[in-house]
Amino acid sequence: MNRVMMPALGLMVACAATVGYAGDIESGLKKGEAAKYFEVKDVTGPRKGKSICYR
Amino acid sequence: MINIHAREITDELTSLVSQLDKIVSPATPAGRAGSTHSFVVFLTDDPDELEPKVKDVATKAKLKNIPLTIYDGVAGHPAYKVTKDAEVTIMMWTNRKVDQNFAFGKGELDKDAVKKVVEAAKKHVGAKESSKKKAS
Repeated sequence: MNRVMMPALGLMVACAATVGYAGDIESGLKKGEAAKYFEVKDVTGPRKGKSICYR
Repeated sequence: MINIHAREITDELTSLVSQLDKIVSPATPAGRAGSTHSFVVFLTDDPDELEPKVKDVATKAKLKNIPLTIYDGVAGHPAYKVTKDAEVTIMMWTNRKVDQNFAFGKGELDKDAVKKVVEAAKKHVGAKESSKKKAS
């Protein structure tokens, strides 16, 4: 019985874990990584209309 | 610093930016000493089409401190590693080292997520302000 149940139980746990994290995505710099210089076009800020780095 | 990379304009994003605007300092360009500020980067392949919509966000959110900006290229700057499935990516850093990261796929930035990010932002701003006081 246990030989049948244990793999099934393991599969259920794995599926539950997958569902639990389904909404999580990874994007952007991770903790400890450096924010580097990059320019954007300022639309509404103090330098509107110009390229600037706000980093 | 609290930075938001966004690919879509939604009511939740506008709400988030509006709430963050009340807890951060006015933006300063890179290289200048400043307290904790924030800026939003909208990623697009059509900056001209997006610009009036971005201005509408600033008006709707009554922004005073957070500048809204556009990056020409929906993929974003490669150094920031914004993945293609992320509708909103939020990074908080101190001395240009990232402390916290939040990423949301399409439709995932809901009211609860906004609340979670605002709470983290308050702690981030508070922590930075207290470390400045200790240093002075």
